[in-house]
Amino acid sequence: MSGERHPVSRAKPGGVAARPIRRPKISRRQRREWLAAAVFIAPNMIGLLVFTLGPVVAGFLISLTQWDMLSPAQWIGLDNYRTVLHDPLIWLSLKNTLYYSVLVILVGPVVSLGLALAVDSPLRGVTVYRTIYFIPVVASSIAIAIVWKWLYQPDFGLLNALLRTVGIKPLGWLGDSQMAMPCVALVAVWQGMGYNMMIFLAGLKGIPAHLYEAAAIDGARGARRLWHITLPLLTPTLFFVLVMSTINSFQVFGEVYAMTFGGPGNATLVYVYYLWQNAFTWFKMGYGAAMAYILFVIIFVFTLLQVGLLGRRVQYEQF
Amino acid sequence: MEAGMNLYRVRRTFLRTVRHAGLSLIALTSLLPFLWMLSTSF
Repeated sequence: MSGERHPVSRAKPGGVAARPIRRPKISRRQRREWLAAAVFIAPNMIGLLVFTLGPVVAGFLISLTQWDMLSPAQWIGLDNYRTVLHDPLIWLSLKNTLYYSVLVILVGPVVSLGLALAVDSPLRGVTVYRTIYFIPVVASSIAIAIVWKWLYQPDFGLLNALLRTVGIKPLGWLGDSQMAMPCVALVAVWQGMGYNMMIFLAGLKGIPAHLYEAAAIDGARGARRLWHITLPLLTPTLFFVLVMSTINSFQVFGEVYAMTFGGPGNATLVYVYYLWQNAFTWFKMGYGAAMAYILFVIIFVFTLLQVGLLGRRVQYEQF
Repeated sequence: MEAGMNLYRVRRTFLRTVRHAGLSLIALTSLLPFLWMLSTSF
């Protein structure tokens, strides 16, 4: 019966004896290979379970509690999520994050694409330019933000010194509530442009040369070539850059933390900075965790919207 | 013929120079914070 090792034979309804079904035998060598594979995969799987999936589940459980990390957590169900809806600073931080995202997403990919087009040519020393444009990407974002904070400094900063040189009245930069957010966004664009440039460059290299040759024979040059060949074939790359930029911009923290602390007057209070304040300044871990889950839902919805609205317009090459 | 070739070379060199100038300017902007920080450290 069950558990027997002999081949099992099944009779068909017609009474004709069916061929015996043989269970595939696993050889010792195969078993050893599977074991080796499991051993090789295990460190990664354990890492994923302990350091990724574990915190994801723990974060959700914490979001259902009131916990200050000092006293035991109290189970409060969905209260944290209800409180979020009535917190005016949440809505302000969301508005600020959206403003920042719009600035970064509108300016960033355009600048990066321009750079990629500029360095996508057989010009002498072009690799040097590419390397220089990539340097900000490898620098620490906090270090970058501190340097930019000094550049923006109203009295001794380089930018106001340059403005004074050309006879323009110095600006408030990060101290001005109107200008603070564009200033923070500029730093993010400046730091991310090298990375996006490399992705665009890879996309440009993937466009077959024969299409440009055919276009040249038809008399297309410059802008027409860009509009009718380069941009349509670059839509998968553009789509990727757009989605990634959106996700990253919603999670902005470092620049705000190092440059403005959410000021002046909450003008740069972005969502993750407010989350961090709740969790690690006021020790409202449950509330912070609930905010993190809400952010996940917001990013998920935005990504789905992008896939739904723009995904169909992406032209994948078929040659 | 010769004049046409010379004009072509001049145009090519000019465009190449403009391109290098533009790329160098962007490179300078890209390095500006680092350079400024370096200069203040002395």
